[in-house]
Amino acid sequence: MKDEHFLRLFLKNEDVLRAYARSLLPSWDGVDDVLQEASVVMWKKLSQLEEAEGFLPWAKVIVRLECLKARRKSARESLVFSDEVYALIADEFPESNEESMQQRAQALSKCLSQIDERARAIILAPYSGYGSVKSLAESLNRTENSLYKQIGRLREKLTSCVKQQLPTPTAR
Amino acid sequence: MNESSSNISSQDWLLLSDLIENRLDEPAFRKLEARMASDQNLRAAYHELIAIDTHLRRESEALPETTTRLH
Repeated sequence: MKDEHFLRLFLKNEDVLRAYARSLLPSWDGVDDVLQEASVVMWKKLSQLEEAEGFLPWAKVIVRLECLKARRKSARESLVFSDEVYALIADEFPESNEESMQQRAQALSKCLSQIDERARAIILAPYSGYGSVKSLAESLNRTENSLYKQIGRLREKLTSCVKQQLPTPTAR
Repeated sequence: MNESSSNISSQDWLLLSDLIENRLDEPAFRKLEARMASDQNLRAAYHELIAIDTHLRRESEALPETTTRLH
């Protein structure tokens, strides 16, 4: 397999691999590093890959191993799942591909457009950098805890909305 | 959209949301972890939440300035 073919496959499946790594790590911190390390390992072991169709399962094995290494490091600073739960989460990661990720992204955009501006700002706050939820809570004259509860409720509603938009369930 | 999106309670959704935000203390984390070990519905909901989290993060990158402007 040529390098450029590998690069195309990696980029095509990057979002799925990113979600997979996030499910196995305590936070988004470290996901980029894991994907970077995993991509180097994949490139070095490319001769193992016989067909492009086998790329995603093969890549997930490598990402899982890199997450395991990162998890050992982060266990000193963060709470991490036990080996048992880690394995269950890794094994049960829903089957997804570029197409299903795009469908989900489109559904999410549609669902986000159906909520008001304030709710949209609240649910996006955790992704706007360190301290952004606290800062938003202060500007809305609310406590950080109450805002996080609302974020949890909005995530639940969005998940429900997205599932209604999708043509078929993506989880196995 | 008042019902829970998975076969878990709204309270569990809040717990999972706090889990992915690293807001649980160790006793709460270990209690939830023990339940996740035996409850497939909780693990499925965790995966759904991660999927939403992944897309919201991507969405926020496209709209980087929206969240802190509300007053």
